[in-house]
Amino acid sequence: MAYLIKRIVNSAIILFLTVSFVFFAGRLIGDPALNMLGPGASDVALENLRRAAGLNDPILIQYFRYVVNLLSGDFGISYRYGFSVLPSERLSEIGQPVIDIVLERLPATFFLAAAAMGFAVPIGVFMGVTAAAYPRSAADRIVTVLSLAGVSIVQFWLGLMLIVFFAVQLGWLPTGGYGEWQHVILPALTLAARPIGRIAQVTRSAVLEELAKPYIMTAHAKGVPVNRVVYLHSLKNAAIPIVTMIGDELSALLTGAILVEKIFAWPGIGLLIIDSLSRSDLPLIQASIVVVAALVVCVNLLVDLAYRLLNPRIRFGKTEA
Amino acid sequence: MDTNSIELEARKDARDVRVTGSDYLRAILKDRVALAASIFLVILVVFTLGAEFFAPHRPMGLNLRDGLLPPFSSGSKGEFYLLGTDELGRDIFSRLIYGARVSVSVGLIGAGLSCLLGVTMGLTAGYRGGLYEDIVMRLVDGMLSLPSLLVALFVLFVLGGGFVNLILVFSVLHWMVFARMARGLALDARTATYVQAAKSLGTTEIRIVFYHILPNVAAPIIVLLTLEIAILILSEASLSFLGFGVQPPDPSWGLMIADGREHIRSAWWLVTFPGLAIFLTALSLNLLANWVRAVTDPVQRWRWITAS
Repeated sequence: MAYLIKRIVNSAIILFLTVSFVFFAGRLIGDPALNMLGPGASDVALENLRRAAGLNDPILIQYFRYVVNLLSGDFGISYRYGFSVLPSERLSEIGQPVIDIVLERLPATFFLAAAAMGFAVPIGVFMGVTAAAYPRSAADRIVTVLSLAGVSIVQFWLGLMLIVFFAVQLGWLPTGGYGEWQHVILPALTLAARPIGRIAQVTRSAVLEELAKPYIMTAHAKGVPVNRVVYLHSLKNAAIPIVTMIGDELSALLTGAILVEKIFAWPGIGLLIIDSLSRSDLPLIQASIVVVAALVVCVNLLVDLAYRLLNPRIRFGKTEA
Repeated sequence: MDTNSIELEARKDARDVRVTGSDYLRAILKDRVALAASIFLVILVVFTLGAEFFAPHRPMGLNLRDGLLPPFSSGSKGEFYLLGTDELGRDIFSRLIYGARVSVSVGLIGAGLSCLLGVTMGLTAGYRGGLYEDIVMRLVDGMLSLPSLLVALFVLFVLGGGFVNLILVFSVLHWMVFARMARGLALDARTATYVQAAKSLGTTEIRIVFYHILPNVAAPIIVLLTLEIAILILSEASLSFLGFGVQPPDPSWGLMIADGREHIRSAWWLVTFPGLAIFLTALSLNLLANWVRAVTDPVQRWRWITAS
């Protein structure tokens, strides 16, 4: 319990530091009013906007206001989406709130991450268990090289290669887009390559370790079928590191999606981040980064807790691991 | 006997049972996969160092008449293009060699700097303990839980891309894994007999940490360093592809893929070869790290070194 509180406080501090960093770093790139209105804006328009947005206040007051607004879910308004060049006294009339844009994009990214994991977990676990069941066999060597290949490949390049082969040459699947079920296959496969490799590696070593234990010998002696021993007995006990790795890879997927979404024109938060970076839409960039960082920090926290729940030695033990 | 001579005596004894370089050489000759990986890496380094000598064409040499030639074709003046040309008639093979210089040095320098920073922080934290350790490890946990590629993207958006900024960003965002590992190793070593012995002889703390502990924990750190170089080469490609890394006209593997993307339907070689180069480099580093881990593991080592 004490550990739980410590972890939550730590995560909150990290998010607070991220918010502060994003705020101050964002100011380094120049005058927000100029960024909003563009280089052709008149001095009067700039001054009006600065007054309306409170940009003439001391930076610390602006920072304080930013943090307080953020806590109530207000991440500011977009400089580009639904932005009107006529400066108004009321900011809400001149641009769309960025948080709405970010939240609108999240489901697509979640869907993609879930589909990628749907490929990666069964394939990775199967590869790892097979390799562990026949150590030093040809299958083991193939799994080792394949899993290292999955970790070594550049994701966006794999995506491009899949597009060339399956979409351009064979014409089986669309090159990109969103909507039909066919659209998700190539981006999900692209994203799955790395987690497949990592999950296979971890599964292999965890199962291998379990298979060397006495209870496995007992099961064999009792005449339990080999597949049952490997898949049920050992895999169940090897679950802890595997689940931890799946969680780790899930948070990596959320950032890996940035490039894959760009390649496949998948309208998730990754594509939004790239678009807003190229359009210098600062509030939107800041909001996306804070939201993704919050998601990743939450996933990491959950993984850590799941690890403790799954491991009886930690769950029932009094000492902190 | 004074401190130095005891130390000297102990080191002489240790050297007798130590595995020497030629043992490793013999071991790698027996492992075909690891051997292939190291040969590839050696060739890569030689090409990188001698790019001017090995590249058959100038990497920026425009030749619009020979644009988008497929691999193994001859140009208008009879020159040979091994891997074809891009839309401006620049030789892909030469650009790959020069691109290796950028990609490999970003990986090497970035990983080297983060290793230096992380190991220093980790070893001192693990050995010293107390509040200092607490602060360092909190920072490590916190920074590790952030999405590093995204943070790198934002920082490079603010600071602007380029070779130097890329390396700086990588060192600041990747030292934590080294710190975490080094701290764990230092924690184990702190109670080891050799450290107690050194301490009882009055050796200074700095000397204990960097002269006694560091060599004993170097193997896992080298494995991690190798893996991290591969990760940074992949990250450099991703960031350059998005336009926030190395800036054109410098050839970098990630940039070459980005450039080739427009022609992906008609000229597959523009995208295929740079990606393959990154893939083979990262794969070789991973395979080599795997091998180093196996040979330096005291439990597994006997099998590699002594097996005939």
